[in-house]
Amino acid sequence: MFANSHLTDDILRIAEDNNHSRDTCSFLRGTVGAVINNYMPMPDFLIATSLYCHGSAQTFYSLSKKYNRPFYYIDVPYDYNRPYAIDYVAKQIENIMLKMADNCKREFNINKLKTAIEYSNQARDYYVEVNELRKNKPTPMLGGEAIDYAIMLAHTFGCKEMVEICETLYRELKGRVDSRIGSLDEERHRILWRQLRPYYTLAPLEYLERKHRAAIVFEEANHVYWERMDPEDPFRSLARKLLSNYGFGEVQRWLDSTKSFVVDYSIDGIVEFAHWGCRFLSASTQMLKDALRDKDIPVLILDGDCIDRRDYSDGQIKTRIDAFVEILGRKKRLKG
Amino acid sequence: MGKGKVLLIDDNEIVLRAIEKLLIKEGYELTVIDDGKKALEVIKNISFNLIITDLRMPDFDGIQTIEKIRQIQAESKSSLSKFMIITAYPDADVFDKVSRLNIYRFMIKPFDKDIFLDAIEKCLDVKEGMRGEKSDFWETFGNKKIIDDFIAKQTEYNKRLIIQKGLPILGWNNTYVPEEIIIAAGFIPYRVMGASIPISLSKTYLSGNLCSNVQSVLECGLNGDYNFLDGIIIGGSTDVTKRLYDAWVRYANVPFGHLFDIPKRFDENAIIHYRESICFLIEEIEKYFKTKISGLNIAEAVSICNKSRKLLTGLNALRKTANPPVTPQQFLEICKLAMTGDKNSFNISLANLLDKIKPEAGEKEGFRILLTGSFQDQPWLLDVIESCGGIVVCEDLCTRYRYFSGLAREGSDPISAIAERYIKFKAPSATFVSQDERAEYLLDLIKEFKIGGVIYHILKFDDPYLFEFPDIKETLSGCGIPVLRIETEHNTTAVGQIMTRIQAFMETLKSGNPRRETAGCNK
Repeated sequence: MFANSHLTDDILRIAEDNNHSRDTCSFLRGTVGAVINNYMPMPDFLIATSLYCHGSAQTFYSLSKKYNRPFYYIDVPYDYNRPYAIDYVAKQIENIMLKMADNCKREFNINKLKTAIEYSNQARDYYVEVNELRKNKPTPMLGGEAIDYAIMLAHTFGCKEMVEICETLYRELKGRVDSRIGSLDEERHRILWRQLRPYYTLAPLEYLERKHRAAIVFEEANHVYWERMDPEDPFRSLARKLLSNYGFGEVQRWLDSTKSFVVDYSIDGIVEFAHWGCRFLSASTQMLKDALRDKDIPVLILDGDCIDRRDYSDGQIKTRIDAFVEILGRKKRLKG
Repeated sequence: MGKGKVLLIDDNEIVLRAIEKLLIKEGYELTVIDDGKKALEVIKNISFNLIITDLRMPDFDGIQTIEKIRQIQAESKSSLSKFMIITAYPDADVFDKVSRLNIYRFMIKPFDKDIFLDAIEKCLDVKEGMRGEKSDFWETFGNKKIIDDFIAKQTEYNKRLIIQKGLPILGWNNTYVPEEIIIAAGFIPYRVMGASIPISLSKTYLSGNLCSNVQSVLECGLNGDYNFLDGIIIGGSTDVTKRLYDAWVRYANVPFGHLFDIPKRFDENAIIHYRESICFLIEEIEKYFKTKISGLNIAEAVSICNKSRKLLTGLNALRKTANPPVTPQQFLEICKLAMTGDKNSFNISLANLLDKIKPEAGEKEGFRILLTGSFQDQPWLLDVIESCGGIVVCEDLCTRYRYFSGLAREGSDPISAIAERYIKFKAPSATFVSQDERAEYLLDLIKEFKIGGVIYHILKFDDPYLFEFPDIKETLSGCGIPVLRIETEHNTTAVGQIMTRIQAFMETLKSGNPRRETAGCNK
């Protein structure tokens, strides 16, 4: 949000002035700066999981001390297939929910949780269909629009409104597919987008799509990786959802799902926006390239920062995209 | 009766006569013999206060002579003699053998007449019986030589283990990987660390914005430096080490690979999680190596690891003194030896070393520094701090204190005991979400080791420490403790710049005069 509004320069600087290194993830550094500048509302509590990012838990823990508010932490085992894992995570979720209710001086109502899970399932079902529709040629929706739905995926599943949003989106895309309306007048290449985007500009995505007619037909961040949940078994269902996050665990799990996207979405090339502060994602790049070698899929890595625009170089990014699209074109010509 | 009964054994006629003349003149009752075997007969009839023996003699050398005499005296319950060895060939092998004998004195020929007489006088001036009397052995060489020789010997021993390859060797990378399980499986645990070599191969597989230690470790793996390993266990303590595992099993040559999952909190959940990780590791080792790890094996391994921890804690405690007998460089090497070889042999040798180290008199000049932060296994930083006027007396690092601190409970349910040790009792690292607990424990160390200033060392891109630092700095500074943050890379650091910053830090310490005064909070 701050990056979209170009407010990040200030908040990043103030965090750096307070000993937060510029080498850390700017999502987190920006959050710290925003807290220092009093841009954030006072939370009732803070919560983090061990999925993906170590720094987020440390940052939230630190902020909980500053706010003098409780910090809750869900420890998700890396060995997600171990027999103990589901019950272990479920128990933590249950305990934390009870503590949250207590902290907010409310009674914990299991029925409300069941309702939220019902809504989550309904939204999920529509979103799975949306992703199915996006496999069509020509693509009914571009990545430049779709990528920001990932934020909703993370924050609003379980709300009634999310069901309506997902349903509306589904109907819109269904209409486009049924009428064979593409998002571009010409779809030269089909791109899979990895990771997030620079939130202060849409330029790289628009450049790919508008200038080169390389449609971003799917983004990994929009993948619905979890199964439907059972409202009668809410804690274990939520635990299963956390444990089924394909980005967590051995890298092979992630590579397998990327490979399946390549087939399912008829992908010609992959573009990854490698967020500077994200070790976990950056560290898998070469393994991804190797895994896709047999599929002969070019991969473009755009090094950058999702939040910090201070080092962003539009010219450089565009030059690299030009070269990448040139490779895609050559490959297409060779294939006839 | 003269000043005391002395037996002199030496096959060199000239030495024999020279010492004979000297000691008789001084009033000692002297018996001279040119052969160790003959001495065994003589001691059956005469009780000597002191036996001086040459080391190298035909048939029966000085060490055999001493051992045999001790045996005879013990069996006959006659009074025990003290021993002094004199030799013209003091090589490292000899030194090691002699050091295990616990004799009164070791002297190198030719020696100063007055020192020799003084040593004998002091020896006979004390009550009968050598057992329980502190050896003056160290006076010959001093702590530095004794410790250096220990390091040289043990390094050689660890190297031989790799070459001879008697037992399988399993690599590990992180102090949250339980060495106990590796030992219980009958294997040797060996910590994989990076080296001072340029990083090139690993950059092909891991991106440049990752911790340089991880890059360096992978570089060594890809270079084949760890081809002697039968497998590797990577502790998944950070986002990057998890990817190190992925890269290692894909690109480095390793028959067995396992990622050991590590929780990030200290609560009861973490113990359950850690326990499960141990059980998974045991299953995997048993399956791959077709072996069985019993509860008894694990209990024994707990005891062996505890022994190492106790000994290293004992050695570290000597550094609390005003003039630490162990240098930080030596301490680093000793800890590395503990992590890269057979623990049983290490324990015996270190126990022996601890017996010999004596407190140093006086006070070492310099500011007492606590070094904390990221992985650090190179002596250069210690050298730089020393050259700027600091003495590193404690390292809150995973290659030192955080490796050996905290014991596991010995007794029933050893798997739970191991889990409790790693989660509850071991000094925590920043890979745990625990800035408050970390700050508190650092304050304890600051008090205990009378620290004047803290150097917080971060390897570039090492997230846990980058994220932790602001909170730690705030707490320590709030308690009036000066903190310097330095950032380096594992292999390529501009030493000049670091030195300038440390020099400036020392200047600030000087102006605050914090030497030996701990400005810690009243906890």
